[in-house]
Amino acid sequence: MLDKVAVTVHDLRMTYPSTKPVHALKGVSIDIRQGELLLIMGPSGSGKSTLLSIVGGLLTPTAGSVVVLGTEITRLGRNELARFRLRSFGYVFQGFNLFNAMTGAENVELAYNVRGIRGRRARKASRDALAQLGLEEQANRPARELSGGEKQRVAIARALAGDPCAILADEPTSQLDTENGAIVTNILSDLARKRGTTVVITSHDDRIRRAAERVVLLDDGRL
Amino acid sequence: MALAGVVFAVTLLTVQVALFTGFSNSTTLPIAESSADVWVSAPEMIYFEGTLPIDYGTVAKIRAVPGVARAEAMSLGIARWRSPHDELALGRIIGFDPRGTLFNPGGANRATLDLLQKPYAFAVDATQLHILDLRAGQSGVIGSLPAHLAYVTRGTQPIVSATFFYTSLETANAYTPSALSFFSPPGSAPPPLEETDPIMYVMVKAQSPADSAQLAAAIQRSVPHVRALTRDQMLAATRDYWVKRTGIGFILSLIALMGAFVGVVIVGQILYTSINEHFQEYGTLKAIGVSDGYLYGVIALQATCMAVIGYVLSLALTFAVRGVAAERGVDILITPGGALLVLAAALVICISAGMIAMQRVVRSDPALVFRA
Repeated sequence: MLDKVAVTVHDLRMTYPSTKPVHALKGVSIDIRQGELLLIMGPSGSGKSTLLSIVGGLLTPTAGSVVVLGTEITRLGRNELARFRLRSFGYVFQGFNLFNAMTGAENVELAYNVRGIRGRRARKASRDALAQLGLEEQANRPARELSGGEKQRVAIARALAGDPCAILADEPTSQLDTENGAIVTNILSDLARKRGTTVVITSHDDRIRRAAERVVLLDDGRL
Repeated sequence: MALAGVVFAVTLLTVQVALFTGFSNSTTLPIAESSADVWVSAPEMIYFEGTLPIDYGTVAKIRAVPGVARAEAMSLGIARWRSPHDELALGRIIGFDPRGTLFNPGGANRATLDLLQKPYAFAVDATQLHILDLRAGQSGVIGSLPAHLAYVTRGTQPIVSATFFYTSLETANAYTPSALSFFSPPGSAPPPLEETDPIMYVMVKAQSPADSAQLAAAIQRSVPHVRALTRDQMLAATRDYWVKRTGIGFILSLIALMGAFVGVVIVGQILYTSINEHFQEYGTLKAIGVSDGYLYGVIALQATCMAVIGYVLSLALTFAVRGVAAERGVDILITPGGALLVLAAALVICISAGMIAMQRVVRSDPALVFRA
C-alpha cells in the first residue's frame, strides 16, 4: 500500500499579502504515500501549518499544485473544495475544536450527520468509533468534562467519520500529558499501519517522530 | 443569556403591539358594545364622540324604513361630576334605552339593566371609580342633579375618553344643560323625550344583517340630513380618527415601531455575539467541509427555536403585565392576529439577524481553525 501515492505536492508557493509580504512556502514538492505516517517538523514560523492547510484543501496556494488521489484540489472551486474536504479528509486540531455543549458521542455523530448519515446508523457508527478508541464509558459525557486526552481521542473518532483517505493533524499532542500523548500517537500510528489511512502530522513531539515512517524538515518555507 | 435577550426584545415588541391593539380596540368600545347593524348620525359625524345632535323624532322616521327590524336612540353629552367628597371630574353621559336590546354596556343582565330605569341612576366602568372618588352604593352630583351609582361595568371605558356615565335617555337628557328638563325641580323624575329633543345616534338592527350596507343606503335616501354607516364603517371611522388623526395614535404607532426597531437591534446584537462566541465551532464545521447552506440551516434552526421559545415566554410576560394594566383601565390586547404578527416578526428578526451574523463565518478562511 505504501507504494501508491496518495498526495502529490508540486512546487507549492504561498505568499501572505501585507505591506511586507510573507513568503511562507518557497517551492515545496513532496509525494505522500497511501498509508504513510508523515511527520512535518520545523521551527515555529517555518510554514508547517500553511503546508498542512494547503494539502488539506483549507487554503489556496499562491502557486503550485496539490493532487489528492488523482484530483488536483488546487484547481477546485470553493464549494467543490468543501465537498472534497468533507469526502476525503479528516482533521485533528491542536485545540481539539469539539462542541463543548455536546457529548463525545454527539460530536462524532455530527460528523456523520454532515456526511448524510443520520439517525440510528450515525449513532451506531459514532459508538463503534469511540469504542475502538477506548471511550465507551465517556461517550455520553459532555465534551467539556472530558480530559485533554479523551477530547483528542473524540476528535480523532470524529476525523475518521466517513472513512477519509487522509487524516491531517496539527500538533495533536502539544496540549496532552505524556501518557495521553503516547495514546494519541499510537492511535494515529495504528490508523496508518492497520487501516492504511494516510496520516500527515505537524509536531515537535519525539514520540511521533519515532512512530513516523518518514520525517521531513521544513525550514523557512523549504523542505 | 441570548434567550433572555430575545425574550426581552420580543416582550417589548409584544407589549407595544398589544398596547397599540388595545388602544385601537378601546376607542371603539361603545360601538362594539352595541348589536346595531347600522349607525345613523348627523352628516357631520367624524367619530363616535365627534358629532352633532339630531332630533329624537328621527328614530320614528327610521323605524318606518323597510328592512329596519329595530331602532333605538343614543344620546351623548358632557357631564360635570361632583363626588360625595366634592371632588370634580369631567365625563361623558351616554344615554340609551335600558329596556331596549341594541345597547348593553358590559353585557349586564336584564335585572341589572332595569336599575337604570330609576331616575338619575347611572352605571360606570370599575376603572373609573377612583377618578370619580366614588364607591359602590354612593351618589354624587352631575350638573346640579343627583346621580346614583346603580351598578359597575367592566371593559366599557375607552382609554382615551373621559369617564363614560351610562344612563337612561331621560336621565341623560335631564343632565344635558341645554335641555329644558335642566330646569326641572330637583327630586322629580326626568320627563320622557320629545321629538325635538337632541340625541346623537340612532342604532338600527336590520331585518337581514347581511344586507346592512343596503339598509344604510336606504336610510340615507329615506331620511333627510343624516349619515348612515354600517357597524364596520362606524368602527373604522372611529378607530381611524384616533389612530391616524390624533397625537395619541401617532405616538403609540411610533412606540410600536420603535419597539420593533429596538427588538431588531437587540436580537441582532445578541445573535451576532452568540455566533462570535461559537465562531471556532462553526469554523470547525466549515473546515471539515460543511456547505454554507448547512451552516445557514443550523443558524436558521437555532434562531427559529430562540424566536419560538422567546415568543412563548414573552406572551406569558405580556399576559402578566396585562393583568396589572387592566386594573388601571389600560387595555393590553393580544388578538390572534396580533399574536401571529409578533410571532412572524420574532421569526423574521431572529432568522435575519442570525443570517447576517453568520456572514462572518461563511466568509471566513477555513484555515483559520488550524492557526487558532
